[in-house]
Amino acid sequence: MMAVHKVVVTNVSGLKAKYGPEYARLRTSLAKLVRADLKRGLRTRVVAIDSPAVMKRLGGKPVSSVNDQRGAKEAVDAIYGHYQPDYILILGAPDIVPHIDLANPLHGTPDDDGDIVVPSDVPFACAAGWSRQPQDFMGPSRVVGRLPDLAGADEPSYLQRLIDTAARHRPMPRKDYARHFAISAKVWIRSTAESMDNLFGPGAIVLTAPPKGPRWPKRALAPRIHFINCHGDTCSPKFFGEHPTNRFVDAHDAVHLPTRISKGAVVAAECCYGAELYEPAKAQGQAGIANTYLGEGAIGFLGSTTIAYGPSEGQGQADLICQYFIDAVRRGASLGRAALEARQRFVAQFSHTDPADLKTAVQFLLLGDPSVHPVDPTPHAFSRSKTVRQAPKGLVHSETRTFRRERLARTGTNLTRTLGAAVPSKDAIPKPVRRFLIKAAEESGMLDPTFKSYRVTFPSAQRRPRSMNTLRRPKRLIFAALGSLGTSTRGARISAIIATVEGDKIVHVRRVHSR
Amino acid sequence: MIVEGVVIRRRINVGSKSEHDAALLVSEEGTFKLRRSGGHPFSDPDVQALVGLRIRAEGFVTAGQFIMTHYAVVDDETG
Repeated sequence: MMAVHKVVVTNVSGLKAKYGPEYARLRTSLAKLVRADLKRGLRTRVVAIDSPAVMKRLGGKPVSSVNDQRGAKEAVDAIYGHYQPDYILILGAPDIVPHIDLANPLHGTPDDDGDIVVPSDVPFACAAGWSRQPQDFMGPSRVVGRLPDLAGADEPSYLQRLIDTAARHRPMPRKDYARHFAISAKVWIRSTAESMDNLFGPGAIVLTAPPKGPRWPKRALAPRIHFINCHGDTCSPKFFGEHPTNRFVDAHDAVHLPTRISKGAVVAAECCYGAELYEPAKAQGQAGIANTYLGEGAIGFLGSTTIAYGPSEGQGQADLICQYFIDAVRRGASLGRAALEARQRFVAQFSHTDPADLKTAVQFLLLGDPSVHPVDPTPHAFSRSKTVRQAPKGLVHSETRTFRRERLARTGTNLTRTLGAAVPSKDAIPKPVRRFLIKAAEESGMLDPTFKSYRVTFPSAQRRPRSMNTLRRPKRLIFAALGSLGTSTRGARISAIIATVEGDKIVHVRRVHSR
Repeated sequence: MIVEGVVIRRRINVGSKSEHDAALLVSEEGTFKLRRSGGHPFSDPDVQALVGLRIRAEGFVTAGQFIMTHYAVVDDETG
């Protein structure tokens, strides 16, 4: 069997039901994409996960409907097992190929996170089997992205445009991604400035809302890297700034994006619901910012499907995963590899993920063709040498992508076998720990805290490496005090105090600054 | 769908990137963050003005929020 490098996963009967005879236009565009990929050295197959014949040939089963989440996950697993492609492109919004609704580890207290589930594409990137538990998907190893159409649309020109954009894209020199457009809610400026300094060097410019936005001039939007750290909400085509606390202003608006986005732009948005693919009819006909960016020629968008987290000062959660993504893109990674490396790098820093980290790891998804390289990677100088260039035909055949995939698979496997995760539990808080949390909450200005318990679970002894079985691993519990905010003596706003407990000792304590 | 309930004010999504004081609709169907279709999701004065009142609203639920297309304040039956 000839190697297949990229698989386009879609539901053809779903597309036909959505677009009727107009579906033929998508077939034409997909044929163009397959030809363009071949010119780029990629053999691409389009696989209909709803086709009984096709899925039987691949050793899987067809999905029962466009809403069949388990069927979609198992179909992708079968496809991956058969072809072992370097790239998996999911084609369509969740009303064609569904996200997997994972349990939200932060859901459960009156003052807590309101998301009941976390729609995610990360399970498609993992070898782990079907589950709705986010902790089962901490070891992603596959390169996955999604080219969405518009949820609820009845004609396919939007999706056709996105496929054509991916087919036409040519990698650009790194200098074309040297400049950036960064906006931040003013109350988060310190955190955003640190992210931009890390990516672009000290003093990198960050625009704040207020006072700026949402009508950004074309020259402000011209850079091909966009980094956004603002508020967002479900079914909203806008992102929001804040200053002073609780005064919200429009920072970015999908309605102002048309004709202002440079072709090949790459966006990382930390915002809540930044990559939500809602039906435009739910927002008076206006598509979301992510959909609009892609429709205007952006080549990739990394964002969250749900409520996202990050500290107001310093770095954490959304700051890190967005930063790692942009960093990898600028170093020449494909969009899909950049998203995968960002996820792996994010979770690899932990011994165990706390609930906010766990949610972060699964809520960010890549919208865009994962095989696209925004930046032309600089080949090693030796590969341009006379000896290599003049070697007999076929003698030197670069397999660097294969090597990278081996490394990514190894990293994903290691994470699966070693990383712990905090899962909600009913463990009672030991009295001394409760007293500690209450005292810390009072000192921090937290009003009326509520408490939540988690148990840290690690992979079973059979799954983890033998070297880890020799580690001391007492029962590890996490207790969090969450509550409304007051003002501490330092003026910092506090939202949660998280204590990690082993035996009768608090072995780690963390104070999370609220947004 | 049509939902009837009392509107209260509470800080929600604490610690997240969308932490804010919100109007919540407390109804028999559940408690939802209340929004007006086309209104500002974080600070809509028309919605904030409903805090403390009982309303009957028509709209849809998504991600734990009730986005209303029409609403009316219900008179207090106790006078």
